[in-house]
Amino acid sequence: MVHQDSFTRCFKSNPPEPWNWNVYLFPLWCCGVVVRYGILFPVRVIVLAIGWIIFLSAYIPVHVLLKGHDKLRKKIERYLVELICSFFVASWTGVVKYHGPRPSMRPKQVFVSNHTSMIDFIVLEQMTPFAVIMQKHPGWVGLLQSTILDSLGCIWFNRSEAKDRETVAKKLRDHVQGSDNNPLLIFPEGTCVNNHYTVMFKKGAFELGCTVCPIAVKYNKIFVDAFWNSRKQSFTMHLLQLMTSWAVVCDVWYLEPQTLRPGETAIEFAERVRDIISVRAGLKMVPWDGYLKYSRPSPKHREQKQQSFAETILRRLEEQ
Amino acid sequence: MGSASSMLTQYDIEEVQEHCHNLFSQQEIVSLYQRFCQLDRNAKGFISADEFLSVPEFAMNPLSQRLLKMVDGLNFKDFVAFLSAFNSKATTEQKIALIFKVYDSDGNGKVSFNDILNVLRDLSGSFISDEQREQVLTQVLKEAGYTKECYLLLDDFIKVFGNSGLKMEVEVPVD
Repeated sequence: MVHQDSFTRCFKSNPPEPWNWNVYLFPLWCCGVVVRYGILFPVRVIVLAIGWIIFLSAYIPVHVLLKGHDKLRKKIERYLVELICSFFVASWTGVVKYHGPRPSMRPKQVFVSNHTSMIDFIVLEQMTPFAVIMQKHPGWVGLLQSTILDSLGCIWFNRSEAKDRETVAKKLRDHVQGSDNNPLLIFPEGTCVNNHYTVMFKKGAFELGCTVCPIAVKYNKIFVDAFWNSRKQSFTMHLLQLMTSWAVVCDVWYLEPQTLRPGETAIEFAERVRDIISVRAGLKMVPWDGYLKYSRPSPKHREQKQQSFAETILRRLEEQ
Repeated sequence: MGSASSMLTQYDIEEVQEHCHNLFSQQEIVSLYQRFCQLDRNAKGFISADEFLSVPEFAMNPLSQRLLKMVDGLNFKDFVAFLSAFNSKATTEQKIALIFKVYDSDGNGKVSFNDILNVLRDLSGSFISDEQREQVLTQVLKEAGYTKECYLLLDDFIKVFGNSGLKMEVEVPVD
């Protein structure tokens, strides 16, 4: 495992082979750069700016003026968020193909998806007003989170806080019970993975006692590698990279809702759903906890191995 | 990817191949070099203990400290030579020699009862008592024809493990 560990492979972004290395292709590539940075990028920035202007000039009044009429306000806000997401997707010349039935707003259901980048949320949000559970980010993303996304009913967590898990679990349960809340979208991997693999799903989403609707998202790498390597670049840089590429092409599959089978544990349920998603999106499954990206394995992993070895020895002893 | 292999010349690859007794193909050595460069964060020419421990599978291994002593500070040539024991083409003797080195922590060429006990302690941790470990070990040694006071040499290890169908192989993925 020293020479190739499956864990690091999940988070490795394979840089595309440079193809612009000869006399004929290089000028072509240069033209491409000029078009992408000089023409496409400014146009996209303008499109995005227009989108934000429209969005804010509609959202702020609605949010403030319709304070009393919650149902109407929420309806309009949902529509506006879908709108701004569409603008975002347009700003990367996003071509998204949706397969499967559109999610419906019903209580006691939760949506889970594989995670490649924060743009997963935007791509999915464009079609349905999900409430998502996300890591609280700093900077302008955090600002957006605390204002607009909050009104969608999004839930925040903090990876670094140990006690956070219980409070978040409770928030999840409360949200799912409410009939008027936006459908909840969860990324059970807990972190961004490079769209070739799926890491282990956290069981939190699968113990809420409701139907789980899997969503599979697969990006076409020919156009751009949509993996957000959060250790290598900030989200702003990631967005800029997307906006100076040719296009973001992806497929989204809404898969058949699954329920907990009798006698199945939450972990087995999570693995079963992960299998469904991985098969659909053509991803390889690896048995790793995504959080190991952020911290060293705790001693309990080593202790598990020691324990199983000790049991083998003890069995040998009993055979005397 | 393309830039890493251009730093290794054909001479380099052949030198490394010779050092590991031609157990790895040229493509595998290129792959290993990419991996080496990936682990060696600041291009020092060797991988430090901390960088090895950043591989979760390695850190979780109960024998990681012992392995670390054997691989800490190895340059690429020695790194490949170390890994060659895991090659499917390596002989059983080569694999057993590696296992022997793990047990022989003081490197004096002899493995004593206590040496094996220490390895067992690393492997089983607090889930089994010292007395039980001693008991099992004494029993196992007796069955193999050794006593508690014996010092085991490499040949003894080969005798004991030689026919047990040792499977210690890993495949180097070639991208």
